Amino acid sequence: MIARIRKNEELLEGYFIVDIEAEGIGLRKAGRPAVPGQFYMLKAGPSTDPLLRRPLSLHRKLSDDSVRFLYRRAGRGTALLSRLIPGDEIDVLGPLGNGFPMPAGIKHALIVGGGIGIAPLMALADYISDERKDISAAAFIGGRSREYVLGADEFSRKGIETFTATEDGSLGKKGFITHILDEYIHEHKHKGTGGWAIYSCGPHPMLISVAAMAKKYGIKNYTSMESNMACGIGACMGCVIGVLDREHGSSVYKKVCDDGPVFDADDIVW
Amino acid sequence: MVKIKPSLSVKLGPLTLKNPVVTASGTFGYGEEYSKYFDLSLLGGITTKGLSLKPMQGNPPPRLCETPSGMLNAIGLQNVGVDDFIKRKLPFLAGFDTKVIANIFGNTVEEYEAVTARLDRAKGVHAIEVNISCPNVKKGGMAFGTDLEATYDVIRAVRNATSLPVIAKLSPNVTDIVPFADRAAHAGADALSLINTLLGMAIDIKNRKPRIANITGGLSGPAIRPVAVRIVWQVYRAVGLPIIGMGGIMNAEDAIEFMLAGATAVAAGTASFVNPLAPVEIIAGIERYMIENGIDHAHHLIGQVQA
Repeated sequence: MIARIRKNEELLEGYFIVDIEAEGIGLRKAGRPAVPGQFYMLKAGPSTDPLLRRPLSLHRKLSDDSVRFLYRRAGRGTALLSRLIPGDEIDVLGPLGNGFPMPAGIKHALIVGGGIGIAPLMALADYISDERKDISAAAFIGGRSREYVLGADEFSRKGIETFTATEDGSLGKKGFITHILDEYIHEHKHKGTGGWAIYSCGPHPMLISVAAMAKKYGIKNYTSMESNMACGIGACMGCVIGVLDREHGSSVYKKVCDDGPVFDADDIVW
Repeated sequence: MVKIKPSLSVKLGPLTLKNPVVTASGTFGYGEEYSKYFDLSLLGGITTKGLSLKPMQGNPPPRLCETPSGMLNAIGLQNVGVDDFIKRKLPFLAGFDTKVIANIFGNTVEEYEAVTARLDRAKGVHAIEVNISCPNVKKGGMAFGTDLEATYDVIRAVRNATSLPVIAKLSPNVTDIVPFADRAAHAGADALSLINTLLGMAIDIKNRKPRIANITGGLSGPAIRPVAVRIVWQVYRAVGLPIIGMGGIMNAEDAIEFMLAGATAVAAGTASFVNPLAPVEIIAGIERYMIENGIDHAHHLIGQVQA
């Protein structure tokens, strides 16, 4: 569908938020809202260079007709996107993919993000604080330095207990956010971690470390994965990752776009 | 002049299509994904993802990267296998009023033959497209399509294993494609698909690694279009078989260019990744062009380049 840019702002060098509007853009089929963890495929302009759409996960659903993305200018596609101004048109497919699962019995969500990985986790925090009063949450947000810890203030404002860590110590603890997560779980585990789930998105090494920790403590970990995509709708088979097929005890390739982008971290062949 | 609705129907040898637009193998899955975006009955035909005797896992990731006006892929022919296709995918496709072209490949001539025999017995397959041109698998694929005798042997074996129309999908990764088209014709092919992807490579200069795990991959998209148009034109002039032209067709203008070069039908491939509606928009655009130019039958476009 053709959407319109309402706002496209640089938050800090190379990091942007863009709000786009189109009728029903915040909805899936049958008028149900887009799920946190779902993504959209965006194309800025009709040029064949760059050729492909860019996948961006839903950052915030502003209304049924308006959504927000948080993105980093990483290459030519996102550079083109960053130059669009309010009123410009943008070609959008979505929402796509599965979204973060929220199985019955979950009482406490640990939200773990690094850098731009906070993008889909904000939508999850919005959902939990707006619609799931039965679920409590704690957030663990890491970044290179203070300015790259995105969204921490917003998480706090929602009343979510929020921990931060930076590699240079300019905000929160110095070091990796996974250490704080480990301390947190260790401190609380005597009260029982039944009904806990970890939701993660961020740099690959962070995801691996979070997955290992979740396994150690026996906590479910749902993680949002990234991959180069051509189509985003399950046709090209280009975006696969290795995933354990428990039925056959072997690993298979699953599509990040429509088997994911959220996977049970315990199933991923890291 | 009274403007009448032009006829878009074309004949690929024994295979009649209601319009000249089909989907390119490997870019349309088994149809299900795109059925959410438009009525598949609008298509001239659907070419399936390549099918092998046994299911295939495909290549390790990363499998694709973008290149200037194109993309490199090395999917490695991941597919469900011919038996699962017939059982689970074909009944869905058979529900649409369009021609189903089953794309097949194998590691040996015998495998090509066996896959063909299974599809020959299946209800709802209208033609076999023989992939002897995939650049991304070690055995089979391009190894057949870059050897004249192997090309003949595979097409001959498939020909003998089915009464369905046989389409040979040829590789552009040869010095001169005409002898290959000629061998395919002699082996009994009814039509040719031109072209498969061009073998390419891209390197990330930051970490000095190839951008895709397979190191090399198949280049598709508008970047290869002039190469594809040239090959269609060369083969059209030299060999008498009808051609499905493909290679970077993004819109109706591109499709018409291929038909003028000699293609009877055209396939949208990479275009569907960018725009799921590309095939139907191309059909509508061809019809519009025919009306605007007073062309009453799509056949009258074929090979009409004034060269």
